Amino acid sequence: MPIEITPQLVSSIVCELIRYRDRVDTILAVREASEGLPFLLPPAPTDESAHLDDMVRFFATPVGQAILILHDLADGYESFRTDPRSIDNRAIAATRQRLFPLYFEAAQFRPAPLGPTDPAANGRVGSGPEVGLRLAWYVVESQRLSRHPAFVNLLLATTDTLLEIVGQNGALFLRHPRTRGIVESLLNEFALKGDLEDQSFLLLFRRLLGSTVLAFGDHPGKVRNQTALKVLYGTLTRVRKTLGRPGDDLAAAMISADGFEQFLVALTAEVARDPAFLIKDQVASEVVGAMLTRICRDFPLLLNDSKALLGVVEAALGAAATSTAAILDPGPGGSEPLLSSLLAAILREIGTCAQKDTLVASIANGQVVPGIYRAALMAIASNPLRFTKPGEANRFAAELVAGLAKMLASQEMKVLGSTSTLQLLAIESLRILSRHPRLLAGHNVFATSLLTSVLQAGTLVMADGLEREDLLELADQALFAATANAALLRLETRLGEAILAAGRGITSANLNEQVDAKGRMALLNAALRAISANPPVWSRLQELRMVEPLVRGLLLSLKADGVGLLTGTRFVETASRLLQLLSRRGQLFIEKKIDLPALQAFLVMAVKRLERELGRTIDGEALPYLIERIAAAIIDAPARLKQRPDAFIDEILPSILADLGRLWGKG
Amino acid sequence: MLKPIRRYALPLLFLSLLLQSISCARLTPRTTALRQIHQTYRGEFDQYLQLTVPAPPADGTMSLRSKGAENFAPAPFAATLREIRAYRIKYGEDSRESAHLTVLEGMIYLQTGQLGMARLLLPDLRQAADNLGQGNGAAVRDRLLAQNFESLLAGWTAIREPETRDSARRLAEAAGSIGTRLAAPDRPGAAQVSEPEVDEGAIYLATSAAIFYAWVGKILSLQTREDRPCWCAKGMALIAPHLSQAERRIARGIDYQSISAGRIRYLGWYNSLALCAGERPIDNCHERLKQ
Repeated sequence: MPIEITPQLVSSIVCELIRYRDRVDTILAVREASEGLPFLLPPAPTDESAHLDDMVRFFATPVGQAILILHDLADGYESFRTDPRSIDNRAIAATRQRLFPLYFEAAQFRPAPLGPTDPAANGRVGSGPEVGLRLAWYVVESQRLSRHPAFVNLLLATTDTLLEIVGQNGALFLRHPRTRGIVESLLNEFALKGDLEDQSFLLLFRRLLGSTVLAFGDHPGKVRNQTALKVLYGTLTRVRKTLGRPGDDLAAAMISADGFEQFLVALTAEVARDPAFLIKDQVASEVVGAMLTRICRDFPLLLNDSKALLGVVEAALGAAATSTAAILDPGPGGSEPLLSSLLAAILREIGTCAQKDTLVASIANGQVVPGIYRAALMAIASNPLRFTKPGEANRFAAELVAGLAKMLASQEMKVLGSTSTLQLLAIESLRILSRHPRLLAGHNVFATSLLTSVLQAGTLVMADGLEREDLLELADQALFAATANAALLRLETRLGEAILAAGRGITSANLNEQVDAKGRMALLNAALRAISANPPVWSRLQELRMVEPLVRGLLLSLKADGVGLLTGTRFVETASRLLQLLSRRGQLFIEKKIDLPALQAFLVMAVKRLERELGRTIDGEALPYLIERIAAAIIDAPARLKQRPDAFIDEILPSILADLGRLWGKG
Repeated sequence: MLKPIRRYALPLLFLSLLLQSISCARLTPRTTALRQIHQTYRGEFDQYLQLTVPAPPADGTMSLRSKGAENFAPAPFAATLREIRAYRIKYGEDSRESAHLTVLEGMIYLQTGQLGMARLLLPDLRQAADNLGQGNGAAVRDRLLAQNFESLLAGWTAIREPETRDSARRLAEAAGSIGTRLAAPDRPGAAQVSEPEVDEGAIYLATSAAIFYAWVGKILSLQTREDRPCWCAKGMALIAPHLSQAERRIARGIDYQSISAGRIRYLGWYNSLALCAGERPIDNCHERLKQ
C-alpha cells in the first residue's frame, strides 16, 4: 500500500533525518557515485596497410627523402623498406608508426577508420548547446537504484534547510507545536502542491522554508496566528499554478526580498489578528493570488521592485484579514474584487504621473507604492458603502496618487533636497493619511491638499533646522483637527492655503534670534490651533490675503523686546496667545476696523513699556498674559489707535497690572 | 504521535537509498563534494574533447591522431584530480565512494595517455574492486572497471606501441581477459553482470575489448587480411550479449535518433564489426596468433 505523504509524516521523518544524517549522507554519496559519467573508448584503428606500398614509394621520391631527413628518419627508412610489413621486428614497426602520419600529412589524406563510419552519429558528437548534451554520447551509465524522488527530494530539502539555518536545533524547531505547525502549513500549502522533481521549485521551497525558520527560529512565541502564513503559502501556490514560470519569478522576487523574514513575522503578529480570517482564508488566498497574477501580467516592472511587491502583498493580506467583504468579494457582475482592481488603478495612475514628472517616477516606488495601496485600502474599509458604485474606487485611487504627486512636485518640498528624503516624507505622509481613513475616504482631495499645505508650511518655517518628526507630527495634528472639526472640512482648499500663509508669515518675520526651528514649528502649530478654533474667520482672512501680513505683523511686534525676555518658549506662548486673539477678533480685521501698522506700533510700544515694569511689578513669566491683554484692549478700542501709543498704554496698563495682581493673589 | 511514525521513519530512511539527487551541503556534505567532483570532471572532459579531438570521429572513440595529454595544457583533468585528493583527505580512503573515485582517477589516466600513472594505481584499483560490490551481488560499472582495469591498461598501452605481433598478442589477451570476466556469471564467486539497459559498465568493457580485437585484426592485416573477419567476429561476439534484442536486430542504416545517445557508439561498433566479419565464423585465428 503506498504511503500517503502528509506534512506530519514529512516533519517527523525530517526529525529522523537530522538525527541520522551521517548515514543518509553515506547512502546518498554511494548513489552519487553511480551517476553516469563520460568515458572515451580506446582509439579506433585506421586502415593503413592498404596504403603501405604507396607510402614506401613516396619516401623514395626526392620530396619524401627530404621529409625523412627533416625528421631524422633516413636511416630508419632504409631498414624499414627491407620488410615494410614486418610485425616481428620492433624497430621496423616503430619506424612504420612514425612514417605513416608524415605520409598522410604530405598526401593530405586520412585513412579510413576500421570501425563505425555511419555519419548519423557524427551530428551528436561534441555538439550541442550545453555540456550535458555534448557529453551524452560518451556517458557510461551505472546501475541506478530504484527511487522515490519527489518524496525524498522534499525530505532532503527540508532537512538540509533546517540544518543550514538552525543546525542541530532543526529537530527542536519541528518539535515545538507552533513552529512545527508553520512548517506543516508550508508543506501542505506549498511544497506538496508543487513539482518536487523540479529543481527550481525545490529552490523556491528551500528559500521559503529558510526564511520561515529565520523568522521564527529564535522565538517560536512570535508565531501568533498561522493562518496568515497559510494564506501566503497558498497564494504563492496559486500564482505559480496559474502563471507557470512567471509565477516562479514572482515568488522568487518576493521570497528573496530584503525584509521577507520581518514580513512573515508581521503577518502572524499584526496582520492576522482578526479571527474571521480563519474562515475566509481560502477566499483571501484566491483574491490575493488573483491580485498577484494581475501584477505579473499587467505590471511586470513591479517584480523588479521587491520592496514594493512585498509591501503590496502585506497590505493586501492585512486588508483581507481585517476588512469587510467589500474588499474581497467580486464587484457587480462578478468583476474583479476591489483588492485587486484598486491596486491596478493605483499602479496605472502612478505610471501616468511618472510619465509626466520624473521626480514622481523616482519617488513612487519601494515602500511608497504599498503606502498608497494601504492608505487606500484602509480608507475603503472605513467606508465601504461609498465605494460600491462602479469606478468610484478607481477615481479615488487616481485622486490620491495625483494629490501625492502634487505634494511632491511643489517648490517648497523640492528644497528638502534628495529624492530619498522626499521618498521618506511621502511614506510617512501616507502613514499619516492611513491614520485618518475616514477623512481620506470622505474628503480625499481635501486631505491630500491639507497635508501638502502643512508640509509645505512646515518646510518653510523650519528651514535648515528641519526635523522630519516634527513636521509629520504637525501634519498628523492638522489631519486630526480636520477630522474632529467639521467646520474645517468646509474650508476645503482654503484651510491649507491659510496654514501655508501662516507659515510664510512666520518665515518672513525672520525669528532666528527669538526661536529655533522647533520653536518656529511650535508657532506654526499655534497657527493651526488658532485656525481650527475659528475656521470661518480664517477662511475669510485668507480670502482677503490677510493671514500672512497679520501673522508677520504680530510676530514682528514681539521682536521689539530689547532685553531678550521674549525668546524661546515665552515667545511662542505670547505669539500663540496673539494668534488665538486673532481668532476671536478676526472679524474686526475683515471689516477693516483695525489698521495693522497702527496695531503693530501699539504693540511695540507695549512691549517696550513692559520692559520698564520688569523687576518693579512683573517678571518675564507675566509677559505673555500682559501682551495678550494689551493687544485685546487695543483691538477692542479701534478708535484709540489714532492716539499716541504711549499715552494709551500708560492708561490701560495699571488696570491690567491690577488684574494680574488679583490673579496672582488667587494663585 | 512520533512513535508510530518512527516505526516507518527508519524504513523510509532507506527509501533515501532510492534518492534523486539534490544539493544538500549541510545534510550531505560528502554527497555534495562528490557531486562537485563529477561536475568538474564533466566540464574537463568536455574541454578535453574540444582541445584534443578537433574532428570527432564517427564512432565516439579517441582519434588516433589525437595527441592526447601531450598537447593539453594545463595538465588534463587537473581540477578533478585535485578535488579527488581533497575528498580523500577530508573523508578518508576506505569508503565505497572513495573506491569509486579511485576508478575515476584510473580512467582519467587511461584516457589521457598517462599510462604510467595508471599503472601506479593498479594496487589501489584491485582493492577498490572488492569495495565496490553491490548488496545483491550484481557487478556494476565501477566494479567492472576496477576488475578489468589491468586488461584495459594493457590494451590501451599496446595500442600506443609499435604494431608488432607481440602488441597484437597483448591486445588479444587483454580483450580475451575482459571477455572471460564478463561472460562468467555462472563461475562460482563471480558477480552477476547487471542488466545492460541499466548498467553500461559491461558493454563499455565489451566494446573496449572488441576494439582491441579490431586492432589485432588491423596489425595482422599488414601481413594478411585473411584473419581480420575472424577478429571482427570475436569483437562482435563480445558486444552482442550486452545489447538488447531490439538493438541486435537493428541493421545498418539505423536511425540513430531513435536510440539513446549513450548506446549509439556501442551499436556503431557492433554494426561495423558485423560488416567486417561478414559470414565468417569465429575459427581458430586466436590460436594462429599464438603461434
